[in-house]
This record gives sequence, C-alpha cells and structure tokens, in this order.
Amino acid sequence: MGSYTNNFKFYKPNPSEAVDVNSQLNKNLDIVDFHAKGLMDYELFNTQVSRIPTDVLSARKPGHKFYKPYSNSIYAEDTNPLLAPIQDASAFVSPWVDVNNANYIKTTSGAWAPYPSQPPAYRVITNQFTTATEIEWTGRLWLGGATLVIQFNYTPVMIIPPEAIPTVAKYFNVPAGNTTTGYSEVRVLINPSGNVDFFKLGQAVPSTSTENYVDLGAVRYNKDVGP
Amino acid sequence: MTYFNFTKVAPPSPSDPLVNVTTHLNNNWDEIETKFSSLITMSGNIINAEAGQEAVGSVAQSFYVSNGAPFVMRSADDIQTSWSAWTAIPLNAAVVARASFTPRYRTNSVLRLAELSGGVQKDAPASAWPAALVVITNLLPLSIVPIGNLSFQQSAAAIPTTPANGSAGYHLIDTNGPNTRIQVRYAGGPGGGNFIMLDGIKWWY
Repeated sequence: MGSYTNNFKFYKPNPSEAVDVNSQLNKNLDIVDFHAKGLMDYELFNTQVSRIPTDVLSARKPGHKFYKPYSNSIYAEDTNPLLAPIQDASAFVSPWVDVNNANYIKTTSGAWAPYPSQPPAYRVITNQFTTATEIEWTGRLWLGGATLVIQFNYTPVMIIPPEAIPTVAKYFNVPAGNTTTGYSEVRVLINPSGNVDFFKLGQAVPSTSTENYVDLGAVRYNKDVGP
Repeated sequence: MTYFNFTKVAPPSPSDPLVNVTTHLNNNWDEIETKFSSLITMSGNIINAEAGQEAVGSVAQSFYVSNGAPFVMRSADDIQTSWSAWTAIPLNAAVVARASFTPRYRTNSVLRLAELSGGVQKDAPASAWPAALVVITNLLPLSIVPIGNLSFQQSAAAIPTTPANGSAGYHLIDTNGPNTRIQVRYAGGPGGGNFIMLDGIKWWY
C-alpha cells in the first residue's frame, strides 16, 4: 500500500505494488490540473453553473478559490457550494447602515418617512490603516406622498448616528422632484450636532409627481476634515 | 480539462522500460504538492506569476500583487491610505474663505480623484455674488486637471431671500496656463450669508 500527499491526496504508490496507470497516476495529473486552473484564473463566475465536484479525491476544501469584487471584500468558494463572504482586512467599504426607523427619522418637523423600497442608509468608507473616514448616503425620504411644500425649512429631518456625523457642517443640493412647469431641489445640511436639515428651494412639488422625494444619493463627505 | 501540459504516463506494455516509482513518479507528486499547496491556503503565492497578478496574502484575508518574479509579492495598493492630506486652496483675490469652512482639497493617487471641502464668500461682508464666473483659485497643480480638461458641477449655497429662485453654486474646473482653475457662478437670488460651499465637488484626473 502506498501513501497519499497531504493536500491534494496524490496517491504515491509503494515500489513493490502494482499500479493502475489511469486511476492512480494520470488521475493525479487531472486533479492538479483542475485545481491549478481555478486557482490561477481570477474571475467572477456564475455559481449556478460551476459546481464543486463530488469526487472525493478532487473535491475542493472550503476556501479553495477566492474572488474579489470591487468592494475589496474577498469571497471564498465553499463546499455547499455557495460563495462564503470573507471581509478583507483592509476592505474600505462597510455594509450599508439602515437608518430606516424612528430613532433616526424625525416626524416633528414634517411627516418625513422612508421612500417605499428605497430607505435611507449610509456606509462608512475607511479601513484599519487610516482614520480618514468618508460617509456615503443612499436612499430617499418623502412626506408620505404629500406635496413637498415650497420654501420650507425642515429642522431636523433626521438625527444620525455618531459615526456618520461630520466635524464641520456639510451642505449638499439634491434633487427634489418636478412639476409640469419647473423643478425643485433641497439643500441638505448635515450639522455637527447630528441633525440633518432640509431646506426646500424652487417650486412646490405636487403629491402626484413621480419624483416627489428627496434623494440622498449625492451626499458623500469626509467626516474628519476640520474647519 | 487540461490546463497545464502534463505528460501523462501511458499504460504499461511488455516493451516499456522500467520506471523507478520513487524518482520518476513519487518525487513528482511531492514537487507538485509543495508548489501548489500554497495556492489553496489562505497564504498563497503565485508560481510563474505575471506582474499585477493577485493572490491571497499572508496578512489575513488580504490580497498581494505580484511584481512578475515568482514568490515576490507586494501589498495591493490601498485606496484609503492613498488620499493626500487636506490642503488649503490658495484663494484668488476675488473670493475669501467662509469663516470656519476653510476651502481645502485632497487627491487620491490610486483613484486619481480630487475632492473639495469648505466654502467661500465673495468678500468678508458676504456681499451678493455677481452674475458672472468668479475665480476661486487658479493655482492648483496642473497634474490634477479634470479628464477632458473640464468638469462642471453643482454645490449648495446660502439660502436666498426668495427661495423659489433656488440657490446653488456652479463650479467650473479647467486649466489656466500651467495650473488647474476653479471658477464658480452663483445661481439664485441674493440672501443672508451669500456663501457657496465646496462639499461634494470632486473630479477624476
């Protein structure tokens, strides 16, 4: 009886034994060929069409194959055979943080609520090697389908978590819907207190407008830069 | 399913020469085992690597990049640490900084992205902006001029007396001789403060 190598389980025949060339020698070459190809390719692929082989000798271990999407997170192929996400130690994008609840969105200055299916959220762009932190927002708010009133200061619309609060106030102009005759925008003010205020500029947007919301997609700032 | 040019062993026949199991076969498996095992572990190195090829590095779950030589790897370029420090923008005499909002810029050498922060006023009393382009600076380095030599972006501004008129600053970034220039035009009616912010202004260079 021969022996197997540790990782790939190549069969190493004993000098005294009879060896089957195809099942014990050439099969080893197929195994290393199979593994090495996947490991030296660098790709994203459809997990539904590339399955883990069931053959015991050529089956992969968890984590055999790694993928890196643009987020810099690493994904390792698992035996189940889903892709198991592994967060890169130097990844620079956090998961989206949902602020879609009453702890953050305030109704004291208007019935502001998350826009259906597009709730507001932010993510932290940083890594372990730096303290410079950017905050990127997404999602939308609306007044529950009511008309966005012109020239109205909403203070505050949101009170955001400390990790998203900038050192100095940040201002952004964002789209706020259209009418048949004009277009409106909202000035978003993110205060160092954590309050997020809206100031409506332009025309009143009727409740029937298909863009009757405030989109936060353009709000991205460095929270650490000083005055 | 072949990827490497392995020469497979032919099934034996009576005329085959003798094969030494240890030196001809088993040593080969050991060599393959040694060289390729690193590729299936978290600490990988690439054999016969090409420059720029990536592998999982010895630092936990991070990528290394090959410089082209076997086993010689460097850390991948880190995007966040590639940001420069925030640097004060040398302002043109036509504007002044808004108090507590120093106009600054920073650049990212990996992303090749420039980004602004802070705010400006026309003058210290915050007079109304003219209906014309006003130069914020024409002294930024030429190396960060926008792709295509022009970027045109909107930013927030002070609330005008008549909010229905809207208020925003429209920034035009282009070249001016040996430098990169930022100009701004106020859009909307005059009002309290008359500042124009630079938050959110960024461009690829």
